Amino acid sequence: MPAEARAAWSTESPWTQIRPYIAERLAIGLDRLDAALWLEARELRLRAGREVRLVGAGGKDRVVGPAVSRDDLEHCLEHLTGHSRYAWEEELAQGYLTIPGGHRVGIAGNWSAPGTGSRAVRHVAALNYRIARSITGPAAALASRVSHGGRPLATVLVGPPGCGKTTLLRDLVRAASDGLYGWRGHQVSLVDERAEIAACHAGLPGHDVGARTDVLDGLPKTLGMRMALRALGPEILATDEIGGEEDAQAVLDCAYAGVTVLATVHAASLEELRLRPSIALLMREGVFHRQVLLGAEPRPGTILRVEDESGRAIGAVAR
Amino acid sequence: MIPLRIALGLVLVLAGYQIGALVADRQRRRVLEIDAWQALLHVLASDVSYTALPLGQALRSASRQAKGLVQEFAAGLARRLEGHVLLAEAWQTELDRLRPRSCLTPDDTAPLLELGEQLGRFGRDEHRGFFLRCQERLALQRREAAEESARGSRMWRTLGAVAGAALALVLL
Repeated sequence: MPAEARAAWSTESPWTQIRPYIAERLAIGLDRLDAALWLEARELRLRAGREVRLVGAGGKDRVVGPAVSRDDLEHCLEHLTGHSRYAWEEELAQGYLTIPGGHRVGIAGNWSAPGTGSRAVRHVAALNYRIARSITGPAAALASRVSHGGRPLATVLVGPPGCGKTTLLRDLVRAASDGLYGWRGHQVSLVDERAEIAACHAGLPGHDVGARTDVLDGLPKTLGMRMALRALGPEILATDEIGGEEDAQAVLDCAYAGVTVLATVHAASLEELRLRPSIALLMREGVFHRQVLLGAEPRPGTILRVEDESGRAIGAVAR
Repeated sequence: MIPLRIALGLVLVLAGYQIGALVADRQRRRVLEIDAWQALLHVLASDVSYTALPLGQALRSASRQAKGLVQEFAAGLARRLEGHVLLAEAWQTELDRLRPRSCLTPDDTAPLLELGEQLGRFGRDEHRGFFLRCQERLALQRREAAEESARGSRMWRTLGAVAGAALALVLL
């Protein structure tokens, strides 16, 4: 894959970013698509023997290209892996690759059986290019309620899957790093185990996560947090989906070291959050000064409630 | 007139010797070229199998240590791979580009062409095997080339000189 020395979240359109990773035969056809279609596209789906489909807002899809051959898919995978499938074995074993711009490409097909030494895709049957969009601004409505004196307070974002926790965390990280929404700029370490927050490709963020942010991706959270603590000197450390006891212990280590932690947790309510033993430990220790409950209705990212460590509501409920 | 004839005869003998030497030198250069390919493949195999360096980077890095046409091949291929090309096609194109200046025989390039079709599409373990097989086949070709070179070196020079002398006798 071309080594991108520039920030991939620049002003390029999604198609410009995706094109180098599409087989030339298909790319030539897609070049002719109306640029406006790409602006609201969510996914580009390539399935062997089926036409190319572009999935737009609301999940509606349309045929935008000819039937895809197995060779097309192999060529796409060759471009995706920079002619070096062996260099992406671990990523391929997860079933996806992230390309510059933060776009994630899911792979379906025939995989070698586990236990054979490697779990590599043998025959690609389908590729799903999920078009990433870095939504900036959702943290603006929250910033004043999760900060004190221009510095973010340790905050946990809570909500069910699909409610916009990761998007909000990304914007909080960017704000804390660049000094937006009335905050000062801080040194931020972002531990992005599944490469969902910064969408790094070859170590470079696919989304804008701020000028003072160091990203550690592809590492187990606990290891990443400890490495950041030891080596990167963060004032703020952000991570996604803490849950187990080891995660909680690593967050505690950060808190004891004076580092402000921004994190997300899967839970349907703040009550459910407090029932989790590992999270309850963090609450008892007063690690998080703010708990933010998010909902997916009427749209992802809706802030339902913000509480302080004693459970008192902070500010108005924004809908 | 006799001294002139002798001088012209000597020139023809020397020219014949030189032509023979050129043929012999081509055989010697074939051995050196195979050696250079072996060295390149050795470096690439290490970078691919042990450090999983992407092929473009591995080629760029290996080209700094390679020599002559092989250096040109590695650097040229690395440049091509930066574009929207397929590896097997780019590999073949680079080999074709260098062919007129290369001393390799079709039997020498066959394992290289085969390697170009296999690279990049499999895991590290498979790549170890690809490189190993290619290197083994090149080693056989090298042995043959070295034997030919050793046999042919004196023979081509002698043949050239004899042919020059024969020409001198006929013409002068």
